[in-house]
Amino acid sequence: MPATTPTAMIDLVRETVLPDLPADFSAEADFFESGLDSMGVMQLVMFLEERFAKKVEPDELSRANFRSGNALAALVNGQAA
Amino acid sequence: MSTATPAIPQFPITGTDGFVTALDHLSRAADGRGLDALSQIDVAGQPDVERLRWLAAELPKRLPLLHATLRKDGVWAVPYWECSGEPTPVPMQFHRLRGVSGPENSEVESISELRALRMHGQPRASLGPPHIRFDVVRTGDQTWSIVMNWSHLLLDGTGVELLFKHMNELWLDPQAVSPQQPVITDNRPWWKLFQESEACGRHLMKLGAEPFVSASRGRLVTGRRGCFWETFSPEETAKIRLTLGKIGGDMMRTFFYAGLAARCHQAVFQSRGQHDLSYAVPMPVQQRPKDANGKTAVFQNHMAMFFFILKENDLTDLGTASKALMRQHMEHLKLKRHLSFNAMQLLMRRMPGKLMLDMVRLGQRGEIASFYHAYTGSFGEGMTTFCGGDILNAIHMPTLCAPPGSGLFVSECRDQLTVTVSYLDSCLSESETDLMRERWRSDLLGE
Repeated sequence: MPATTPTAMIDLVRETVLPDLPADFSAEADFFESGLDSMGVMQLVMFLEERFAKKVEPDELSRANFRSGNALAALVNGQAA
Repeated sequence: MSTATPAIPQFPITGTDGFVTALDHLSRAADGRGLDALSQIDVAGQPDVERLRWLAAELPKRLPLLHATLRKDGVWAVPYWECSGEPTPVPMQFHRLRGVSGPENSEVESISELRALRMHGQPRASLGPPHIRFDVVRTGDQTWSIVMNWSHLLLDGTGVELLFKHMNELWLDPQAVSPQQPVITDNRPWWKLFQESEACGRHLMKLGAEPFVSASRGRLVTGRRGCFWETFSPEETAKIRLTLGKIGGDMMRTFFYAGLAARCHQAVFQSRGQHDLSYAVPMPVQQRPKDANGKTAVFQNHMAMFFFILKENDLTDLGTASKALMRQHMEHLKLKRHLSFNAMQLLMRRMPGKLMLDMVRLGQRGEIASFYHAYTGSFGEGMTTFCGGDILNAIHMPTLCAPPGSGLFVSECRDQLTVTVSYLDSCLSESETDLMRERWRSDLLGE
């Protein structure tokens, strides 16, 4: 599967858990400040597996990995911090 | 000329309120007292009596649900809160501990004695106000505490924290805008809700077939309400975070603490000779609506409920338990069981409380769950001051009925974790709460 982009991750978050994300939401902007909560994170985990074949392991389930479009893309592309 | 009568604001109960109302009914049937709880904030400095009195008078003027009454117009009607009462001040009493000097006339031996008095207080005569009351206690020359006695019918633990937070906002700015309670309506017909409840119904039947027990052994019993907690120091809390960090990331906390609740109860059940059990673990997840200003709703119970099944081999250690819970959570989300459970709660909120619980218990051999559990996160969304002073600690003391007769709750305040066991003394003994403490210290601190 080709590497994903921060924009694709922002689109996923907007489509699945935060429909009110603004169109100009940047790749570094904080999803949690825009209302992402633990329930939303778990839904994202499910969608990452379904659509990007990314199985999130318990030790990857950190706030840092779900903070922004950049962080999520790095997680999916196997470059998480 | 006719004058239009202003409509009396009404708030239909939420699906979660429906279940809490049934539990409140169970609690009142057992001992006449409702499903009330206590929350306490310890504060540095001295209480400003006049301004606290002002707050007690101001809150009901701004938050009409504080003087609402729970009504139901027919056997199968949706109950609702009717804000018809006068906005009389929230009861607030001032005390000082024995040996502490201050202007208060009321002297109490200890704050735990005061809490016990409130916890075992008067039977509830009506479903009207007051739904909260405050006790302000001068505990030292430069420390005081505020204890809120609150009804679970109107508030949940997170709502209590939001109320404390708003009190502090008003303290800092008396003109601050108050959160407006959204009116939640759901017009889906009953048959639609029934259809949507199916996935959850199947899951609950599966749960009912598991050999799980509670501390009350499925009996409807009364007892003296007890609460035991341990607040860890900032150093211990940091060590706990390290321990948990080895199991998973910080978004796993909900599962860590639900797993901890199960393991602590496992210690008790095993000491009773009950082995090879399953554990029915309910886990509430907040889903609070916001008002037009983006302020989160303070009142009513707003939770998506997830029910997990843990077996003995899932409970060999905290890491295994947490991961088992996470796996099941993913399955719940895939099958949208939380939405199905929401539909079931909306359908059942019309039922008389006794009938609702009889139905639940019929399918589960008299039980409701193995225990109750909640992790409320950082107190008041990380608030650090309250009414003029630094917060030293804040804790909740939930009360519960039997079954299940016990619960384990986790909260955090200013980098200090608190683990609390609530129980009825007919269901859990003091030596068993000690067993739980041994287990949580072993799991969290490696002792």
